[in-house]
Amino acid sequence: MEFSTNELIWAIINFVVFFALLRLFLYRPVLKLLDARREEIRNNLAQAETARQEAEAARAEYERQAVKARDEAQAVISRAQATADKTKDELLSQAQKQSQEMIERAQKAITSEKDRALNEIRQEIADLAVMAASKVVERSLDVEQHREMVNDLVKKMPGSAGKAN
Amino acid sequence: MSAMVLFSGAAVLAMALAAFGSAYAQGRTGAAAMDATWKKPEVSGKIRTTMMLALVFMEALTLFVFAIVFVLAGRVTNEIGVFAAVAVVSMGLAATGSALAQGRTAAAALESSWREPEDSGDTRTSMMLGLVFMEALTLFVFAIVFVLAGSVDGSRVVFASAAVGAMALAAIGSAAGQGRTAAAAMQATWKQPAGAGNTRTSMMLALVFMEALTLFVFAIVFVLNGRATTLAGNLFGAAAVAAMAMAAVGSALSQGKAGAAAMEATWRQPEAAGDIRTSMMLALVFMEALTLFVFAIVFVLSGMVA
Amino acid sequence: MDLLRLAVSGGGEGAGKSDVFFRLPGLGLEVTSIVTTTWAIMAIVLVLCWLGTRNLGRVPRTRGQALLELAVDGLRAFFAPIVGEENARRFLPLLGSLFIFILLANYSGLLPGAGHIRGLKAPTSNWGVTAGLAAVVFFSVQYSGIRKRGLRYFKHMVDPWYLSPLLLPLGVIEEFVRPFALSLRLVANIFGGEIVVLALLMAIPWFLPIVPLALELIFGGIQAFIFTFLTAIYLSTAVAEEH
Repeated sequence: MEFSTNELIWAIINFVVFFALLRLFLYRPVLKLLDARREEIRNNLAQAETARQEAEAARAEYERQAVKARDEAQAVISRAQATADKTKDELLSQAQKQSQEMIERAQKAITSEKDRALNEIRQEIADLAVMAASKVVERSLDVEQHREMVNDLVKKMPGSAGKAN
Repeated sequence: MSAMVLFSGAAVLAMALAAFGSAYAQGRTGAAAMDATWKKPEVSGKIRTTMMLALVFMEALTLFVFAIVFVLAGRVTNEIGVFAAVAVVSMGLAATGSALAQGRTAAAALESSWREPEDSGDTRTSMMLGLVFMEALTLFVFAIVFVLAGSVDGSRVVFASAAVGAMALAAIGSAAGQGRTAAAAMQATWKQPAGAGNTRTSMMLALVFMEALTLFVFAIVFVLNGRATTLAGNLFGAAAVAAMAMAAVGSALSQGKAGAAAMEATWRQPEAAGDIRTSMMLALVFMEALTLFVFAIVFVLSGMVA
Repeated sequence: MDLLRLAVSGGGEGAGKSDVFFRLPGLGLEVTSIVTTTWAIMAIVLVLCWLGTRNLGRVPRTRGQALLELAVDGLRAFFAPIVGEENARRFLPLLGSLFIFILLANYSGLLPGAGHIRGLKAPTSNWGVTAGLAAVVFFSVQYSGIRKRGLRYFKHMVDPWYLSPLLLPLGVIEEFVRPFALSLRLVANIFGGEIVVLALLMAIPWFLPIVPLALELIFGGIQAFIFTFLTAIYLSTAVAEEH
């Protein structure tokens, strides 16, 4: 194994020539091509990406609008519902009030009717009592004494305390 | 006549050494294969294939020694008897070194193939690659013996004897380093089966560096061979190759350690395999440079001595 | 054994005049088998590239174009994790050329007859060639570092100023050890492999040399890989800003 300067110099010359020519014939054109292709692919990918983003945006918009429409319909329905509920409540309470009033009126009428009937009955009883009494006693009483006696009697009758007229 | 006696004795010793090394390695391999077979009987076929391939490599090492004995036997004269004797013993030593490293590697590979049976193909490929490198070390010694046998005469016998001895020493060192790294690579293969390819590349790179150390000794022998005709040339040459061999052994052992650590790092942190490999290479380059300093000194001095 | 001796002598001084095809007048440069092999490798690669890139289409029209694109993009993808995306793009021509050159130079030694027929010898089995490549790497690293970072490139050699008497020589030595190691590692592997194949071929001429031949096929690739891998690391550390 010898070290020969001749071969060393030749190797440097040959390799430098080889390197320069390969750069010219291989690396420069092929790398340029590969870079161009890479660039193209990158562009295509970027375009695809843009298209995808646009489609995505359109879909989002459509979805947004659909949601909006649904919300609006919901609002209309709930408004109608609320109105209906309110009307129903009003009608109900009105009817309740009316029936209450009717009941009250009827009760009042019943009460006054009862009072009138009671008075009439009381009068009747008093007269009957006087009549009966005069028949029993067969003596005429002085009218004043008589009335006083009857009134006493009436006062003692149940349900008529202080209600003499 | 006495030269022939010396040579024959050396040849017997060399064959014994080589046979011992091969046998020991084959024993280790066989034992590992048995172990693997009972642990994973279902892949015993694959284990057997791996084992057979490994055994063939170790067998061949002894055959190389046999071949060199055969080649030299026809050329032994009184003049070069010492060289022939040293040469065959060197071959025997180199074969032993290669065999021991191969045994270590094959045993680790067989362990890997039962621990991770699915990847036993990967393991086998890595193992074969490792064994090939270790086999080549003995082949380099073979080649140097062969070449020197063609040019040796009474005037170069000291240098030539030292040269083959130095080659054997360097080969043993390289083999030891390679064995350590390759065994670690086999372990990494089952610890991290997904990174088997990465591990193999790193292992291969590390082994190349350790291989180169023996080749530097090889190269310096060639450089010096033409000049080792005088007594001074012989003595200087002998000292120079011995120095180279010692440097190579040191470098190889440390490279083996660094390589093994890199293999372990690769399975512990597979994502960092690339970084680990680069760092490993830089470290190996530095250890290699130490042997190259010796080479440079020898190269420069050889011009002055001659 | 003659074959081996010829191979060992590297076809240079040993084989002497027989390996020199001609001398360049005036420069003293000799065209040897290694140089002719280098030229052949260069010619093949360049012609293939020229044919493949003659009419590039945005969509690959020919198989050649697809293959070259695959090679260039593959190299870029290979270096990207080591040196980062941007550096991989910038250093790709250098790293890729080194890888292709070394790989084919290593493999040229596996061709039948390589090393012992005239005109064909693996360039990377000669230390001069690998040293030349390492020199190119050395100057590229220094140039890239200084161009990118100016004088700050040298900062790591004098960083804590009080340690600079120690760091400066170490840093300078390291810069020179790197190409030295690069060249020697490559040549030792390729040359060693060649010798192993030859030795086995002659010692045991039957089927056995297939094994080291297959080994050389693997090692040739690995060595090209290591050389460029380390060059990539050196380049990227040279241009990296310290944190």
